[in-house]
Amino acid sequence: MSKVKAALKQYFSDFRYVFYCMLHPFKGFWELKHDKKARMAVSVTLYILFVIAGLIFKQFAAYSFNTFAVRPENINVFSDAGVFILIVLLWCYSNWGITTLFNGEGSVKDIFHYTAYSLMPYIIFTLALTVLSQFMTVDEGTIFTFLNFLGIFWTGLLLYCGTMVTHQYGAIGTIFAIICIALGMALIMFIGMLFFFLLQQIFGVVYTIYREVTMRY
Amino acid sequence: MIKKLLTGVAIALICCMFTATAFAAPYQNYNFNKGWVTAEPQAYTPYKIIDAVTMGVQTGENSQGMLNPSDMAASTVNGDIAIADTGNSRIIIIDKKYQLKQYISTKMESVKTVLVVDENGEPLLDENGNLQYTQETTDITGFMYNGQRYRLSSPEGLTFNNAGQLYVCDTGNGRIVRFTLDESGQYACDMIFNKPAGLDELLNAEDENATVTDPGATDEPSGDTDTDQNNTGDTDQSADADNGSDTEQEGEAGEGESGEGETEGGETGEGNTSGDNTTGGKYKPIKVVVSDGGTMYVVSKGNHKGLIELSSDGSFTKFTGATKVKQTLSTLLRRILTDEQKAGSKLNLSTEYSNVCLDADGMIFGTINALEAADLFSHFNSKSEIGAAIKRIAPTGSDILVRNDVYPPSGDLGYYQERSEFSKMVDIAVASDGIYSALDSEKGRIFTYNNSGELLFIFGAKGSAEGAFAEPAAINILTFAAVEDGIIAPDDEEAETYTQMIIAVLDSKTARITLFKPTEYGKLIRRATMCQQNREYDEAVRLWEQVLDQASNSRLAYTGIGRIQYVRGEYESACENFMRAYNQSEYAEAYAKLRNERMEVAMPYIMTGIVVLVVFFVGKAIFKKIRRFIKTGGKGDE
Repeated sequence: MSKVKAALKQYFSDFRYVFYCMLHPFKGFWELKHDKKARMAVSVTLYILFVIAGLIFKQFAAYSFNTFAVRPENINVFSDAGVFILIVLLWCYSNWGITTLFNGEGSVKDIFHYTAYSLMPYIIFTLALTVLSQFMTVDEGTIFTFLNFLGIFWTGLLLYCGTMVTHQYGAIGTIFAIICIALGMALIMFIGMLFFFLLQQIFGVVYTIYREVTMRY
Repeated sequence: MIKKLLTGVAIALICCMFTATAFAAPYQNYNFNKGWVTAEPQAYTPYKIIDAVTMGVQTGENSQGMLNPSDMAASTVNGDIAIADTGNSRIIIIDKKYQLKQYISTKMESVKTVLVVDENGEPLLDENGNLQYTQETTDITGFMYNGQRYRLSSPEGLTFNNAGQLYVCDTGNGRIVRFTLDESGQYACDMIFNKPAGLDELLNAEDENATVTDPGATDEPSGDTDTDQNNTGDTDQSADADNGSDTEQEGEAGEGESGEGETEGGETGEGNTSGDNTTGGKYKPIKVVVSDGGTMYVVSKGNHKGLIELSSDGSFTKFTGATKVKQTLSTLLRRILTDEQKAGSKLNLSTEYSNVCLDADGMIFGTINALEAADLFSHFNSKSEIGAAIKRIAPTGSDILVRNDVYPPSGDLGYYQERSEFSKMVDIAVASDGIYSALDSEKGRIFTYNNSGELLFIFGAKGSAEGAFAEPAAINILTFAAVEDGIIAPDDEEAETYTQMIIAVLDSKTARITLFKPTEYGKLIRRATMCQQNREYDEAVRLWEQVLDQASNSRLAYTGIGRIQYVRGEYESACENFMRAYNQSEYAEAYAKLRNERMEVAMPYIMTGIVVLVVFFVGKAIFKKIRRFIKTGGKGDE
């Protein structure tokens, strides 16, 4: 029992480091990598929170700001969660692929961790907005939009700092790298789609041959 | 066996009973639900079809039916219905019982094969002992005006003014002719409005942004005339001076009293090479409406400058209601092109009107059907001015149609599956209460909107079934039909509403008129809308609830109830209803009121709480200081 308690205590003290990263990105992300402060449990929790926050916003944010609120048939938890996960995975792997080419120093694990730790502002703002929107009217919509933007901007900034620190890039180099990563994401999606279409075609051919053979004999 | 037969007969009888009252509508009603298309109960059913035979126009094999009728109008004075039988170049007037009353002008005389009889009525036999036939021609002539004979040439539009006078667009001859009821109950011509002077130059002038211009010369020929019948002779003389063809035609018609000129009178204008250029020129009036003051608004074929406004004496006033031309790169480019280059490049013109209709407030409803899909698309998305298929034009020429719904009133959304095409509005009819129905020739649908531009219901279809159209051309509200056809008793309390609810659609291909009457559902919506407009809120809520009984997804009903609750200050239930109606903007408004109301209640407690907390923490800090002060004996913090 005390073992569980100790583990939990450890987990929460690890989790507090997320907030440190949020406010001190350069030092935070440096120590995340070099002092091995990153914890897999925390990262996974953050990804789960990221998906859940997005889903909660879609389902529960007030109708004044969110048309999905009255259209539950338009919310598919699995496909929506899938989109979030897909974006994260695409980012991580495109990041790894591109930065490997550009002499980045981060490993897949590093990228996975700093991405997770960067998501905290988005999670906080999205959840806060879900609650706040219940008390807001459209006249205060500017505040809503501003806070929404702030959450995304902060997360973006953290991703930028994380990329810079983890891969040891310069300020301009990081921007260039991020653009390349985005292009890489698009490329992966394109190739993925191509692959699936091709697979479909191949399956079609095989199936036709099978039908032909079974019909004949 | 007999039993089977009997049941068969019984079933057939039952079927007949049902079909006799109203045949099943050959279409599905639907409505737009924030991007979704949802099924809704029928709002209108066809109940009667009038064609040339039932009217008494086509009496035998050889008599003429209708050929491509293109417009129809109903008099609000005595219920007469006029049909522009364009293909036969005549006007057919039927009374409110749909029986032929009068022809006006015809291209050919009616030819009948009759038996040759002697004076006693006995058939005369020829030398072989056979019956003899002869072709008897009945002269259904043109119309007389000022002692001279005139003919119509492919009239494409007509309208009744409020006084029951009939205005006909004599398209082929480029003029508008007015007919007034005489003592015998027949329509007689009492005025011809020839093409106004100077209009040709204006129509020919290449001007991309239709400007309002007033030609100085316009008033000159008709300056001394008015609508008075005695005076019209002068008008005609002077107008003829600048209209070569008409003079010629008149001359020919004049001698035609005795013979051959008459048979081809209607074609004179077309066959005449010298007069052809001046007859109509670019002025081809196809539709016209007349305001109470006698001002005419004319739609001319191929005119991109908007409606032509003519004063009551027929002189040109201005162009009005033209859609602004999109300023694109090509229009900018045109400004620097040479004349030869301009001639080769595509013109960027304002869209022309397809039809017009006057509403009770004297505003003109216009439909536009030559719209590009991209423009319509942007109209649906952003209510842009360019793609509007329906316009309400104020005397100043600006569009004042209210478009309060999520989607502006322009027919089918066009880009959702199943309803994959945009509508082509060819005609529009406005009821006295401001509810208007637009006719779509693409799918044969009729879209009815209330005066805030919210879609009430859709009905009608294309097809070959009874009640479906092949090529719908005109729509009208028959104010006399409800009582005449026995749909409602004249002393019924609903009769007032009902008179505005019978809709007639003219099919140009099959040359038939289909009459539609509202179903219980259609009536409910109509009455609820009216009650809401008249602020009879209790009644309106009751009616909307009845609508919901029949169509539980009715966006219209939820919005209606929500609005009434909003007015009454029941914001919470208003929110709920707006939410059900997927009406985000109005929900947000109601919610703002609701929140403020709740804030007012909660604010004292919140503020008290904050004050208590502040006092508590400040007090605690002060208390600590005092205690330390006492402990250290007033020596401070060392």
